[in-house]
Parts: sequence; C-alpha cells; structure tokens
Amino acid sequence: MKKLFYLFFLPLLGMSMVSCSDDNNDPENPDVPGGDVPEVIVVSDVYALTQGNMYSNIEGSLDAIDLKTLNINSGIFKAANGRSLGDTPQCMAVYGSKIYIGTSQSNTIEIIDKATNLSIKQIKLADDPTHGTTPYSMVCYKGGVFMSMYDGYLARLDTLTLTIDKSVKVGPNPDQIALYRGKIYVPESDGMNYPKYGTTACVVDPETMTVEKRFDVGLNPRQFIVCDDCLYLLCSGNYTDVESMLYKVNDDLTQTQICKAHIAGALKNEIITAYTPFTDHATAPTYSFVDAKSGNVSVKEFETPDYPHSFWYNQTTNTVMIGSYVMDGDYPSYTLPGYVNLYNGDNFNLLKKVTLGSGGPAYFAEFVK
Amino acid sequence: MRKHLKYVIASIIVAATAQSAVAAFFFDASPNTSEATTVTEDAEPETVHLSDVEVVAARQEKSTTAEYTLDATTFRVAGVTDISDAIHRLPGVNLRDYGGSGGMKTVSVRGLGTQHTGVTYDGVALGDAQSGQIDLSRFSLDCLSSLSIRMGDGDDLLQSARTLSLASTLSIATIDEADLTSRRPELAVKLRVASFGTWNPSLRFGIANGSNFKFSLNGEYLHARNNYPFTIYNGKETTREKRNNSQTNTGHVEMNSLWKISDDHSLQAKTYWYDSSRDLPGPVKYYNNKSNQHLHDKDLMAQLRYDGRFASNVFFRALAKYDWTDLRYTDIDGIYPNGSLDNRYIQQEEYISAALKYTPITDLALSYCVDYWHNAMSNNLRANNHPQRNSLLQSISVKYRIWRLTATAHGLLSYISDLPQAGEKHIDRWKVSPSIGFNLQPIADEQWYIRTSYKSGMRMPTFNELYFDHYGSINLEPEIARQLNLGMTWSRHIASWLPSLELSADGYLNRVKNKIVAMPYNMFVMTMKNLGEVRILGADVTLSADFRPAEGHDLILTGNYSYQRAASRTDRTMADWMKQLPYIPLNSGGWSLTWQNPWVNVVAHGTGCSARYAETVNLPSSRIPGYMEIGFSLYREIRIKQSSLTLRADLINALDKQYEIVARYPMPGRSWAVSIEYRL
Repeated sequence: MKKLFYLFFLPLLGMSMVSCSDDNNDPENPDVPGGDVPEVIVVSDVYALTQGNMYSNIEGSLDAIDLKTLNINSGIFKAANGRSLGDTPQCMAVYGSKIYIGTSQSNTIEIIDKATNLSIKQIKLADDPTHGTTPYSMVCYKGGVFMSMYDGYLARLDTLTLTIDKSVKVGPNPDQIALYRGKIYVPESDGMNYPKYGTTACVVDPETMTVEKRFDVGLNPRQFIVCDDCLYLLCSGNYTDVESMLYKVNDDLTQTQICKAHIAGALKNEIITAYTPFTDHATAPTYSFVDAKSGNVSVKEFETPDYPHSFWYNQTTNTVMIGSYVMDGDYPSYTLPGYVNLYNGDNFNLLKKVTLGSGGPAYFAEFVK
Repeated sequence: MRKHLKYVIASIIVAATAQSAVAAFFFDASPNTSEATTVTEDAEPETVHLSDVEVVAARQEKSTTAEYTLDATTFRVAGVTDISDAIHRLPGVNLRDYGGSGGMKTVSVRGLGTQHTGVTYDGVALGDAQSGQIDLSRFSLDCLSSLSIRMGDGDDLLQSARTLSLASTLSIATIDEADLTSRRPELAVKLRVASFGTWNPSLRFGIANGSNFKFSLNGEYLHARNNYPFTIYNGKETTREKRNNSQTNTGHVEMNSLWKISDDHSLQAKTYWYDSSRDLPGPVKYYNNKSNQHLHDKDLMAQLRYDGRFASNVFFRALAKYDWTDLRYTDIDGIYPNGSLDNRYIQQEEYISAALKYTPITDLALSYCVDYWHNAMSNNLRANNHPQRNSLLQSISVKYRIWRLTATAHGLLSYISDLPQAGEKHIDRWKVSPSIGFNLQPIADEQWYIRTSYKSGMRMPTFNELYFDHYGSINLEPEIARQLNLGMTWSRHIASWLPSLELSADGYLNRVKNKIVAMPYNMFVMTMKNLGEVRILGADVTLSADFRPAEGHDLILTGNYSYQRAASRTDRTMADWMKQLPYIPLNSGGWSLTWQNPWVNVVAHGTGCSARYAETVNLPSSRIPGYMEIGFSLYREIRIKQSSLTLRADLINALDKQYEIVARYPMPGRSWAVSIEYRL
C-alpha cells in the first residue's frame, strides 16, 4: 500500500533549484560567516541531480553540464567516490567550494568537494531526528545551508562545522523554500494529508531561526520562486478539480492569482510555467511567461520538450534549461533516463538536447569552475 | 471496530461450542464398528476426501491438465523446510518472497500474474477482493498434508465454479489425523527451533468415535526475530548489516469435524482463526535501516460442507463459508499528518456453492455447479470507500472416457456486479470462460500419458485497482488469460534396484490481454488502465527416481526445471516491447537427493533461478543476479511402541549465498533449524 503511494507520488516530489554563488540576494564569501566580501562570479557550468527510481532499483545520478561545450559528464559522484549517492536524491545546493545533496529515502546529506567530487562528509539524519530527517529543498545564506525537512522542520547546516546546528518547527510537509529579502519563505503543503492539503505558508528569520509570520495561501502551496526581486508561489491544488495556480505574493503577503501552472521556474526577469489539464495527460503542455515585476502573462514560440519536469536559468551564459522525461509510447517513462533541452535565453533557439544520467525528475544547481 | 471484535469473539465461541457440542453428542453414542467406506462416485479416482489416503498420483497422470503435488511424505523426504521452499519445488510457479519467516510470500504461475492464481484451503476457495492475492507466509507445513498446483481446470466435476474461473489453482490440504474406524486418539506435538530467534511449536489432535464421527484440532505458533545478517554491495564498498524491525508473532488454530450421516451422506465443518503481528523492515535502503512499519492481520473463517449421493449415479456437494479479515498497517514517521499512519481494512465474504453430478453411463459424467459470493470492504481511509461485490458463477462440465482417452470440457458463465459506494450505480461485468482438455494413454499397461488442454480464464480487477483513493479506474475490465498446454507423464518400475522412475514434460503458450497497468493520469497522478498484453512461452520438466542399491537403502532423486519467456507485447513503439516481464526468470528449478537408510536419513537439496529485472524495460541497473541456494537435512523416526519420535535438523543456505527474490529484500544467509515431533 505505502509502496504504491510512494511510487505514484514520485513525480510529485518537489524540485529544488538553488544557486548560492550568483548575486541574487547575498553577495558574500560563504567561507567567512557574516562576511560581506563581494565575489566576482564566473558561472560556466550547471549540475543536474536525477532521482532514479528506488523500487525499480534504479539509482539517481549527479551530472555536470558544461554550458560552453554543451556536454554532460554523468555519474560524477559514483565515479569519484565508488559508492551510491543514496536512495532518491531530492535536493541540492552549491555554496562556496562545496556541493550539498539531500536524499529523501536514505535520509542523508552528502557534502562534496566541488573540485574533486569527493565526499567530505555524510550526515545520517535518521541517527538524530531532532532537526528532521527528510530534506526536500535547500537555500544558502550567511554561512548556512537551510533545508526544508518534509517531516515538518526548517533546519540549518553550518558550512564551517558541517553539522546541523539549528532548526525550527514549521507546518507539515514544507516543500520548496526560497530566500527573499533576507527571510526564508516556507510553503506548508501538508502534502501527505490527502485530501486536506495545507493552506498556509510561513516566514522564518534565518538568523534567529524563528517563525515571524504565518499567512494564508491557496490550496497545497508547494514552491516559492524568487525572480527579479519579486516573490511568487505555486499552489498545486488537489490534482483533480482544484487547479494548480501561480500567484504573485505582494508586499503585504496577500497574493494575486496569475495563471494556471503545474511547474514553474525563474528565468532572468520572467517566470516560465508549464500547464496541462489534470484530466488529460495526452494534451501537450502549454508554456506561459510571466513578467516578474508586472505579472503580465505572455507566450513564446519555441521547440518544446516532451514532458517537462523542471526549469533552470543560467545567467552568465544566458541559457534556459528545461528538464524532461523521455516518452515511452504515449506516456512519459519514469525509469528511462530523461534529458534536458538547452535554449538561448534571448531567442529561445534550441541549442542542444542532452541525455541525463538517470531517470526520474531532475534538479539543477550552479557552480563556478 | 469494537463491534467487529465482539462479533469475532462471539463467532469463535459459537463455532467452537457448536463443534464441541456436536462432538460430545457423537461421542456419547455407543461404539458401532460399521465400516468406514468412502463415498466414491464412480470408478475414477475422484474420491471425496473422507479417508487419509487420497490417490493423488494416479489422478495426476490421468489429468487433462498439468498438475504437480507435494505431499507430507515429500516434505520430509525432499528436505522441504517451509512453504517457500515447497513452492520452489513446483515447476512453473514463481514466488515473490520478501524474506524471513514474516516476509510476505505470493505466487504467480507460468508468467500470468499473482491475481490469476486461485488458492483453495481444503477444497474451498480463499479470496481477497482488495488485493487479489493470498499471502502464503501464513501456512506452516506442519499442518499440511499436501500442496498442489494445477495449471488449468482439471477433471474434478464437483469442483466449485469459482476454481474454474482463474487460470491456475494452488490447493492446500490440511492433515486429517483421525481414522473414522478407530477410537484411538491421534496426537502430534512438534517443536521447531531455528536461527534468528525462531520458536515454532505446533500441535495436531484428532479423535473419532469408531463409527461415524471424527473431530480434529490443529494449531501452531511462530515467534521469530528475523534479524538476519545480509550484505550490501554499494559500488566499491561492501557492508554487513542486519535486518531491523523484523519481528513476527503469528499463530493459527483450526477445528474440523466430520459426521458420516450414512454411507452416502456426510457433513463437514471447519473453524479457522489466524492472527499475525509482524514488524516490517521495508526495503533495504542505502545508509538507512530505520523502519517503524507494522502489520497486524487477522482472519476468521467458518465453513460447512455437505456431500451426498442419491441413487447410484447422482452426486451432490454443497458448501457454505463465512470469512472475516482485518488488516491493519501502521507506520511512524514525521512526514505523516500527526506523525503516524494507521490504515485499517476489514473485509467480509459470504460464499455458497452447490454442485450436482450425473453419470448416465459409466464413461460419461455431466455436472452443473453454481457459486455465489459477496465481498464487502470497509476501511478508515480518508477516501472512505466501502466497495461491495456480488459474484454469481455457473458452470457446466462434461467428462467422457472412451478407450484410453479422457476428454473434459467446462463452460463457465461469470456475472459480477460491483457497487463502488452505497447509493451509487452498480457496475456489471459478464464473462464466458470455456476450457477443454484431453488425456490419452497410447499404450495399454504402459504408464505413459499424453495431455493437451486449452483454457480461457479471467481475473476481476481488485478493489485496490478500481477504488484506491483517486488513482483507481472504476470501469476497468477483467484481465483475460488464455492457456494452451501440451505435455506428457511417464512412469515405470524399471527393476528392483530402480523401483520407480517418473518423468513429466509440458510445453505451454499463454497470452494475457487487457493486463492492468499503472499509467500517468496527468503530471501528478497515476491511474490504472487495461493496456498490457503479454505472451509467455514456457516448458516445465520434472523427474523423480528411486534407486534401491540394497535392502533398507533408498536413493531418491527429484528435480524440477522451468523455462519461462514472458514477453511484453503491449505496443511495438514502447521501450518494454518483447522485454521479459519483471521478476520472471528465464530459467528456474530445484532438486533434491535423499539417502534413506536405517540410521539417519540425509537430504541434499537446492533451488535457484537465473537473473531477473526489477522493472519492465530491463535496464542493466535493475538486474537482480541469479542464484542457487543449497541446503542439507537429516531426519530420523524412532518408533516407541505405537508412538513415534521424529528428529530433524536442517542447514539452510549452506553456502551462505546472498541473494534477493524481490529487489531490495535480501534473503537470509546460512541458518539452521532443528525440530522434534512426538506422535501418539
């Protein structure tokens, strides 16, 4: 019964796309806690993390995509360390000289040296569940990697001591968090509580690790997105009659409904969304582009992938990435390795289609070479 | 829930009291040593099961379908250790075993899928409308007299229509201790102790009044820690771990009564109670062995059976059964609302069956059977569905024998009406399922039989597939399974040093249509659809030979081998086209070699299979390596006047082979078991 449940919900599990080395919100040297040294960043590559499929015995994979040559180097963790990343890699962050990867079934945090791909430390969260055990998304801020734990916590991993030192209890099943104007926004999805999903989100101060505010949102809030200094929220509804919607979060924490969307991601100054009607898998998704500041919705013509599951934008090379399942007959395959389409950020010309190292949804994060 | 518990306890008390009262009545009667003749319908070996001895071997040779049986003697002689091991010795049967004595065990036959296999317990069908499969881990060999698998309909014209609907039938028969003619009580007490903290006592008791009544009781209890060690291969790293959260406490007790009303009429009653509390270790995960899952399941069953003969050529059989099951699954994890999951499913089944057989002339038999049963399920899930199902099945069968050829044909009409939720519309399904089989003995006096059969069967979608929260699809059609078989058996007494040699070989072609598979409904949700098509080409071969090198010494060799090429043929454009179905090995088999002698009997045995894939596309990363598990047994029966003491020691997985049947569920390595049984 439970096995069936997990298998069916695999594609639902949220996405975490985090870059901590671009100058979005906190330009500082992460190795100096609290330091404010601006960093000149040359971003040239992106990591992709794929989930695999635990019950089919398919491992996830960490891949590095070179955006200059458009080549992919797959399975770099296993190649360097000779062992598996763990069951169901779920989220990833790149901060300073390290990569942090959380797995939701093995309940581990793997801390990896970017230069060598070797694991520096592995934290087994199940051994000490006080700060939560199931990492779902990560953001980085002032020497800490903050992660939402699906069992109801926001935890902080200190990047100097490489231990989880603080946490705060938040609402049930917090999904994809975001860092916005120095605060962490946590969507309280209550996603395991079919059909009474959550309707609140909270604001956490990362310095004190306290919940400052809690506010009402749409049904099943799953992902906060920050783009061009604006905050957006994706609420997935109930997967049948209550639609999945994208909202703009105003300064007073009220929300303005923007458009229907199943998945969404931040580009340079607009948000890209994909949507198909709940009741019809066969209809190809429609893509919308939301201007971050104004909330205006527009469309673009471009060569779309088969069945998208994630978005990423790389500022330095101005490359848009859309991760997709590969089709198996009429249906997406959750076992065969998927792929990512790379587009020119200005004209959306398809540059290349790159096959990923494993099946399952993919997650992206950036690094500096 | 409390209401149900009261009902359960009340039913047990009523049934037990009724059986005891009836027993007392019969035991007050004065001893009357009338002959305990069995009620035989005709010259064919289709005896109503009233005596201990059932002529199984003869029936199998002459059967129009492939059938294989292991009886209690074979369990001992071939060193069979438990129900899983027994299943591995039957050809064409795939077992999914999750490891350890508490691990779930389900079977599928000749590539057809678990829900296509029917299971009968002492002739009456067991059912589970929710999952469509029976967990065989509940059956202990200590109480079983035989285990047999039949691929098709067979030749019993008084069998229930229900056993005709599914592609194959696994029949489980319990030990019937008492002999009607004797007043001597039968008692067998056994204790088995094994690795990983396993304690397994069992008891069998039977008594008769010497003329027309007998009563038996059997029960057993299993306590095991199941914290067996296993190896994880993680790239370059190899680590030794132990199964965690794996304890099992299981018990069952049943009572059977037989009242021989007259030479031509008899009545049997059974009450059965099963209770199992199991910690589930879950799949093995890298770096994490925590599990808080727990399963508690209970089963109460009461059944009544009447056999009668009117005139010399009219036979009647009626059955009534009530079955109540309670399955409770719990888990503790912060991700659940309120930190825990507590799912409870209660199912009830009421079942009646009547069969009438008429043999107008010696070589022709005709029968009609009608079955009705009602399933209801309730649960405490948020979705709160309470589905119900009414099944009405009717069959007409003909068996004709001419010269040395037997032909049997069955025609089954199934009508099933589902009510997804009270107040909603009924969903009705109809199916016609025919079958025909032939058995020929080409040469008189030669024990060589050729058989061929064709059968079209179906299996209804389960409640899970139809109504599980919002993933189900309420209009799913049944899966259709068609089987074609051609085979032979040959046996002979060769010489005094080779008193018995038996061979059987069957080739088959099976096709499944409308196979129910999970497909995406939208980006977030899966649904069930009748999409799949499968074609299975296979062969089953068995051998048994008994050498007698000297008086008092026997060398018994048994072997079974199966080839199964089960290919997906759903859609040429899909990645699983012509790929082997998950968990079906291309080659599998078992063997045993026993040396019976006056001192200690020694058995060496092995079972194994080739590599399998854990998913439909056969990706190299999901490949589960093949294995061969070898074990040894020693046993000795010591006679003490009229009683006996049997001692047995087993070394299981002697070579400590690390293997898996289901991905992520390792099987135990080297382990031991000893047992002592005293029979009065």
